[in-house]
Amino acid sequence: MNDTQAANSIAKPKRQLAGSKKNHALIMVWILIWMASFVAMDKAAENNWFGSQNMTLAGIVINILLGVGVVVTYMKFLEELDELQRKNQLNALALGMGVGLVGSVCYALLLASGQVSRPDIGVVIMLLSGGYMAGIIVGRARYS
Amino acid sequence: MKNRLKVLRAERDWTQADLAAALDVSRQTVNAIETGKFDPSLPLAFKVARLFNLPIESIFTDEDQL
Repeated sequence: MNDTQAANSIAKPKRQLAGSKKNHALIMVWILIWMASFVAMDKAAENNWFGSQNMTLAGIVINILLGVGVVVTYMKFLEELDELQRKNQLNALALGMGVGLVGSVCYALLLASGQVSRPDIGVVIMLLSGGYMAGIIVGRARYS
Repeated sequence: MKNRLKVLRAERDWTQADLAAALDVSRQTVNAIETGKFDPSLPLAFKVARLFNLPIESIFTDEDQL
């Protein structure tokens, strides 16, 4: 069969909605809920809203469960991506982890040397997410 | 690796989105393969060959052999 015959024998494919878009929205919702619970827990711990230690622990457990939800949703999201999208995600994760690791070590040294007075986990989260976002942007630009 | 994806697609009057839907990948992936920025995996290359009813080597060519 030559190319022209092959061309005539194949019907035009029907367009489908990409499942990854739905999953992307879903993971964003999970992250927002998890971040909201983190902020709420942080404020609650700071202002002692719960009163008892058991309530505080329950709040932390809820935050952990929401975090697990984020991880599971993200893994499902990764599985449903195509190979280029997955490559972009893995590159971005590697960059995020690298920046987070190097930045954390640097931050720890700054703390030890007294250049920074108070440890702040937010710095590590910011470095990780900043590296990840930069990786996503670079990946999209590279293959577009 | 070079490929004839763009030519084969044009012969069928398909858009990148049509081909992406047929291969179950994103339009960005089709574009990256067509422009040679991304080499598809072997399963995806076979899927392309099956879709066009052509042998895989008539679609994808190793640039080192040219």
